[in-house]
Amino acid sequence: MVLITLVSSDEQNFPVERELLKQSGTIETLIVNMNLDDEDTDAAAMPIPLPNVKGDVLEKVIQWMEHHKGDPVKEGDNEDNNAEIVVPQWDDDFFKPAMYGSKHLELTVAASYLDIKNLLTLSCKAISNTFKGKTGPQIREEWGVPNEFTPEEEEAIRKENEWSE
Amino acid sequence: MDESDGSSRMEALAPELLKEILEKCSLNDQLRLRSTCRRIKTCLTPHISHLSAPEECTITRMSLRKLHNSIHISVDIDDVAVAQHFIALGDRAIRQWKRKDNEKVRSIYRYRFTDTDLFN
Repeated sequence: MVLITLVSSDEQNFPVERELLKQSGTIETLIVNMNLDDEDTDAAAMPIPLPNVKGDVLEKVIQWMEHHKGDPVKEGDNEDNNAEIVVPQWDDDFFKPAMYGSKHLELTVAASYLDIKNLLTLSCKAISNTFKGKTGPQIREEWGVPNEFTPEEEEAIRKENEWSE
Repeated sequence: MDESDGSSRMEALAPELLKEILEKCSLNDQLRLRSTCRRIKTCLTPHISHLSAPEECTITRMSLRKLHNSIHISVDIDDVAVAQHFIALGDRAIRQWKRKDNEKVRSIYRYRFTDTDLFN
């Protein structure tokens, strides 16, 4: 089993099975460009620095990739926006401890940076699921977003929405 | 990606990621989410067709009725986007209400109008 070492922004090393990294478009491109697949060169032993991903987040990303090993890798942006995305139970449980917190957002940002399309889609959907049936003030409170609106602006939004809800 | 760079806060999320999350919400959730913060409102509003009042629209029925000390304007709203044109009308009314008749919604606006005012 070929292992490739990923290095997080806080200098933690994560040896990861080569096969798993095919899920990440960013890492896959780096591996190809740096000839890391060529076992006859010194490059093969070279660690891959990920200066935008902290260790605790990278650990979660690797955990997710391990569970989804062998899943078909989504390519391109030809997602059918009309198709309802269902977050499988395992993934729902995986995202839950980080709900309403910065960790879930960090994981989403990491999925985008590492170009792991399935993780990005499910993570975004899991966040959007937490918004279901909630009002703006409730979401502000849960996610710690400051209120920028005047009462008049809030009233204007309410009136605009009135006919559509 | 520490908290100090802002990427771990909802209001500082990159626009493409915010869009990716918001477009996965239902229409009703998107409408409500607009009152979270300006950024979310700006991101969502152009994509909600119900909120874009058409430049030109046809009203199938509009009536004016004089009552004691008031006049009533009633409009049949056949399209939710058209209703956006009538928000300002409602702002000036002393009372506003709706009547639902199957698929049709009639919006009624009441304005103060004394008997001494002209009504020609």
